[in-house]
Amino acid sequence: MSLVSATSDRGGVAPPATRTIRFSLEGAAIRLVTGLWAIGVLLPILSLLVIAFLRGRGIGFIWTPSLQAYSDILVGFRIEIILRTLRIVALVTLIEFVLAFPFALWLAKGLRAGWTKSIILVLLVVPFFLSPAARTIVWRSILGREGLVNSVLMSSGLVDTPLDWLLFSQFAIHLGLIGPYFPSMVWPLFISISLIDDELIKASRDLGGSAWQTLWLVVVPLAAPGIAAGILFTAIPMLGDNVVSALLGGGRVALLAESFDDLIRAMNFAGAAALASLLVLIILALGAAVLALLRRNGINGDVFRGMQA
Amino acid sequence: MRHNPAGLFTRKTVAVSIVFGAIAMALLYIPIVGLALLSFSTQPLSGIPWPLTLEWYASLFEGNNAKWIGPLGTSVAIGLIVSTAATSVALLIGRALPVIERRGGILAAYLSVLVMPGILVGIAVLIFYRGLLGIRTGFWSVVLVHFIWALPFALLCILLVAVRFDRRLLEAAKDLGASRYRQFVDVELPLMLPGISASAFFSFLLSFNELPRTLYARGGVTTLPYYIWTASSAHSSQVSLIYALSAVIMLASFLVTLLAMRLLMRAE
Repeated sequence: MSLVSATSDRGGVAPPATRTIRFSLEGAAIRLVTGLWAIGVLLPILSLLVIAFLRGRGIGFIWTPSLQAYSDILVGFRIEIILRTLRIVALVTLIEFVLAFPFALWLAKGLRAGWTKSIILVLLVVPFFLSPAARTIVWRSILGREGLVNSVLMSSGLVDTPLDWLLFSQFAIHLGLIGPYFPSMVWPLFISISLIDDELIKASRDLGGSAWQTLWLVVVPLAAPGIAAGILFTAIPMLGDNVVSALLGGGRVALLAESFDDLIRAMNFAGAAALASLLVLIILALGAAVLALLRRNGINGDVFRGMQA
Repeated sequence: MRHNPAGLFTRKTVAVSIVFGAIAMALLYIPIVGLALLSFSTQPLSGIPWPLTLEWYASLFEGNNAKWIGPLGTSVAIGLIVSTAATSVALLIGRALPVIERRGGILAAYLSVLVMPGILVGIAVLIFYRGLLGIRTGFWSVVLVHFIWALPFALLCILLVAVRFDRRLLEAAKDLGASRYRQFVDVELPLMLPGISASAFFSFLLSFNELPRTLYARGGVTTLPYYIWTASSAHSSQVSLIYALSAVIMLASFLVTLLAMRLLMRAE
């Protein structure tokens, strides 16, 4: 459909010759805007790595190098929070992949283009543009002590007292995270699988490969950039999710986002910068690990290639 | 295009794929449909959309309950600014990107923020501008973080039409004596219009519904999502109203998304 065919059709139009933009108003504007983007947007994010080593004074900073911020935040309970966040994100990302890969494969290679396919793809786009909080709050009505699940269980006599672990628990956070992050996993997988030439799959079968061998030896390697992009696009934003953990963790299951909240509320900007720098490092490590894995399997190029329009 | 190429699927594996997809789609859409249903329930927190009532919708405009109107205005204003800014910048960069050098690096620089957790962007803006430079956060910083969120999407919309734009048309227009301005307005703009309008709608929606970044960059500004957030996490009696209000916003966002997608698809 739209997004995919636009990508794959690119080869059909003769690629225009690359040219350097001569000095012109347009060229100057592009340089200016890109420069402003680098200074105003990328620099603040990367500067966290430096700010983390400054000494905090109120919400400002003193320009003396210090490890104070790190020693302030890296205390027992917070290390526990970081590890808990990493564990939950890893598990939910794995669940997303298991649910999304067969579905994306079927969407891309098993389902004929038509109404069903269009509707499914539209349903996978729409959630990006809906309010994250509004999409999560209803779980409270479903999982709460007086919620739907408990009243069904109680009235059917399956349980005598309402189940407490349904809401404000790790269970609720896992459940609440799966839905919102599903499209982030499906799209890269779907796009990369769609771009695989059907002839390659057919050739594998003609040469005697079983369906599983074809999947493992042809489809998975060719879809590797999409798999990598899917994991990154799902896991990284999930690391910082503050909506699900606040609404469904209810303060009982603290994740990274709550730590940021606490530090900012306490006006400990240096501590927040140190924690954020850890997040940046985790993200860079995750990105590097995925890239290295791709390289080792003989796939070069950036993971974004599958996503590029 | 051939489907089920050379029997990659059996009936069983198709069933498994569909069931897995259906589970995830249910987890995605149960809260969305549930919100709409429960907004008509007399007791939204019971999770049972029965008995039905229009009470919450009716009381949205009564006295103290109507406090969402101010934040609505703020969010619409920010959304319009962000939509205009993101679409203009995306148009500037996107129409040049297919033909300039180092496009890979430039594209990566703009799209890299797409993977960043929202909270990280919000905190970076707060710490850098408020902490390091000492500039008070407020309306401008909310616009900035929303712009950062919307720009990659806007850029992708424009690129979808820009990579298909045949630049020889501009040469033809030039040969026929059109000035650069007329080349842009009469030739390029109409052909890229679907992408431009989709970008404008999507950018507005992304800004209008944005929460994680706003939480940190908002200064004293109250956007509509932030208002709903505080009201819903406060365990207050407002929750029933929040369901009705959120359902209306969600329906509107849904319709605008469909409209924008239709525009983009028609461009194909």
